[in-house]
Amino acid sequence: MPDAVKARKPAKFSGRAKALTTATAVTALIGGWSWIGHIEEAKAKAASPQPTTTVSVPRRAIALPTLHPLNIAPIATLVPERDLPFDIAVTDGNAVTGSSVTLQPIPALAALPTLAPLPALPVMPDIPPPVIDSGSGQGGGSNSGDSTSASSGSQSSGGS
Amino acid sequence: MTTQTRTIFRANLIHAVVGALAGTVIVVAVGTLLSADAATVSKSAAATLTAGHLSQLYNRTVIFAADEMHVMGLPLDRVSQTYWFVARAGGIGAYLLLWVATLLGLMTSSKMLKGHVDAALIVGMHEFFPILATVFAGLHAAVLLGDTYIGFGLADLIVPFRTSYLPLWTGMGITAFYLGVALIASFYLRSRIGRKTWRAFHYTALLAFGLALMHGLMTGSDTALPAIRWMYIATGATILFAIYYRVFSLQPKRAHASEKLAASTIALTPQE
Repeated sequence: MPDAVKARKPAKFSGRAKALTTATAVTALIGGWSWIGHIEEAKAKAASPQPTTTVSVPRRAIALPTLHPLNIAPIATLVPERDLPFDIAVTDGNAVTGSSVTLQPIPALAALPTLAPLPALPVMPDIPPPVIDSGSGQGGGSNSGDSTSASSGSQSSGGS
Repeated sequence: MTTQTRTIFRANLIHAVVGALAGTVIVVAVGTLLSADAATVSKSAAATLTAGHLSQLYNRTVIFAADEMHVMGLPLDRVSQTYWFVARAGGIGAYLLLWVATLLGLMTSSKMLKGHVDAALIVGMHEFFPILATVFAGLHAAVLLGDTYIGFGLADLIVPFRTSYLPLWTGMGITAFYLGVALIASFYLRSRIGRKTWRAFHYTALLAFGLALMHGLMTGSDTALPAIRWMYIATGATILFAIYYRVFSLQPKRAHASEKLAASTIALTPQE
């Protein structure tokens, strides 16, 4: 049909277009989320008292000076000085050989003073013999041992 | 809801889910590309890609992802700002989608794009964008539940003008969300409620947009940014212009129709 004019199919908002629109919207949402995060981070950095600024150092070859080799003068070896009052020789196993060791005598300690004798203790008085109560038993029951006052009390009450 | 409208609504949801997954894949892919330097990318495109380049690309991707996660407030913990960031991004996204949907509606009714773009395409976009805007607005509100700074409760987000945080402006946003849901539902219930009722109710879409604009301007944390402030001004201005065009583009047609009616009345009047 060469002469026939084909009617144009009306465009529709198809399912694919809807999915693409949603994808774009979600992408924008996540992008916006990240953008807001970056803005807040920048605000926090600006508000901090000591802002930490990152300085980017360009990478380049730095010519470092060549160090000359150090010449250390030889240190003189110290010779041990033998100034011992006796002549001993130590062999393997720490065994001391040699008989010319002369030890100085250790000074004796002074004698300790003798303490004076302790004073004599005073003689304690004799313990009185126990009193045997041979009365009627009035005014008894006292454990004080003062039998005299107990018996007089009973006598006075009995006399009135 | 009839079987046909239910099928259309289900298809819209499926496409939205597929798109969301695709969007996530796009973000990961773009992040991977951004993490690599130009030399690595140009070499990776060639067949001379070596294991060393792959390793370098992988390392850079991991470092980039770790940096981005840190900036975006991840991983989630008690003091994480992730919820707050997602709420802000979701709110701006929802507003922009609502703006596109409102603008398309005004352009359709005023026949501004007649002859330039297929009406079926415009109507399809005008049907789908509000759904996406409402999903974004729902996300914007839902993630605020996880934010501990303001401490929104479920009732604060459901009941308008209840919250203690800027109750008037926050309540406007909640009302706009409910209006959006009702408008979407009315589209699918058009045959039941009648075309006249649906058309009358559809004018509240302008109110929903106005409420969303005021909500974004007055409560948005990013309104202080010049880019966002100008975005609100520009979007509001385009809607005002579209309303103006809509109102005044219909007047000549109405006048023309009344003239035709008067002429036909005169013609039909029997001559003396």
